[in-house]
Amino acid sequence: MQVVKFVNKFRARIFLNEDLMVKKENRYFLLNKKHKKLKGLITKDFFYAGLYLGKVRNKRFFPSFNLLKMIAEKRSNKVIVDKKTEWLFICGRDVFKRGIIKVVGSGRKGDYTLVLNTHRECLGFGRILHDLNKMEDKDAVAVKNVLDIGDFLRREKGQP
Amino acid sequence: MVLDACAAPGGKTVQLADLMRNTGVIIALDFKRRRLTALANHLERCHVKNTIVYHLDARHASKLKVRFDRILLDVPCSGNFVTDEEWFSKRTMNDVERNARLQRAILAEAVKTLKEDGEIVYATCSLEPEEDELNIDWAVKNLGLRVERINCYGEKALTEVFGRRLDDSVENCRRIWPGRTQGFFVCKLKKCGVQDASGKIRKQV
Ligand SMILES: C[S@@+](CC[C@H](N)C(=O)[O-])C[C@H]1O[C@@H](n2cnc3c(N)ncnc32)[C@H](O)[C@@H]1O
Repeated sequence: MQVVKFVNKFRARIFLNEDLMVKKENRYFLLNKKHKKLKGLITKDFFYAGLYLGKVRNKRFFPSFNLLKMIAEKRSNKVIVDKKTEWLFICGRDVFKRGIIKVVGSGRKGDYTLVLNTHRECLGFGRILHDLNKMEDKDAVAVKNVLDIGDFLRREKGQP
Repeated sequence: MVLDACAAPGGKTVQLADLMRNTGVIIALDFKRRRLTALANHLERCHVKNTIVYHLDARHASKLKVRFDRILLDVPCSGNFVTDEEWFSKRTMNDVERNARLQRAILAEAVKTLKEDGEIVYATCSLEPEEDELNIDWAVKNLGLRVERINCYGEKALTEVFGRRLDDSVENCRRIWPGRTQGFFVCKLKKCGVQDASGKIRKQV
């Protein structure tokens, strides 16, 4: 299951009730129990239902920000960044070592980590480029931006 | 169960979900597929989890075979000059009439899917009486609806339009002239009759 595999990348454990999960074409959704009771409705041709978890494109899983928030609420890999880094990150930039206030969970090179602001709001996620606990050069990129919430603006750009 | 019959891009769907504390169920419809993407993005961004979206014409809402407690009809309308400088040169009376007809069809379908004790909120951002007071007067006289009093700023709606006297209850609607906002019309409707098998409304006494 692509969703679970993705969650595991952050060394997180979240319980996703598979009975409440539905797949529509390449997109995954998590329903609530009330939705499930309306069985007939869900089997009809819906466009969106419940909590959107993410989609698969070219065999790759693209998480929704709902899913990232769910992972961030559990024990998982995360870095907390300062205000300036937060702003740059949501504009699509990478995270420099200097901007990281705290590392939670794995800081190992190659692992995935969520990026949070000081209010513990999840801004997106990235891939760790150097071991965060050993890294000395504060001006080097520490976490490569993979997805950030600025995507909401970018994805609708150009659409009327 | 709440129906948001003309939902995209979803500002009000999100507000409804918030009022419902993300519980219960909202069914959101829109006719234009392209606008559903904006609605979906809105729902994701605001972490809404109680909504099911269908690409469906509100005039066919009864196909869903669901009866709703509340229905929001934020119907497509002619808009007004506040948000569109060229409004006067772009619209003709035919456009207004066409929209008014579509709005009546959406209202009539919504009544079919409303529970007996349910409520409809009808809103437009048009200032044209054809899309506002005249449609509500028609709904009161033909769909067995009554207009409830609401606690909302704005002025009492018109009860005399183009020399025609409308049902007194139409004054319970609110006409919000451009100023604090861009200009709106809003009202709350309840059933006061029962529909028989042929779809005719019998008034309850
Ligand atoms: C005033 S806008 C709704 C705004 C929305 N409620 C919000 O708060 O963001 C009216 C919407 O009705 C949709 N619409 C037009 N004709 C429709 C129909 N027959 N059935 C359902 N939706 C329709 C339009 O595509 C448009 O998105």
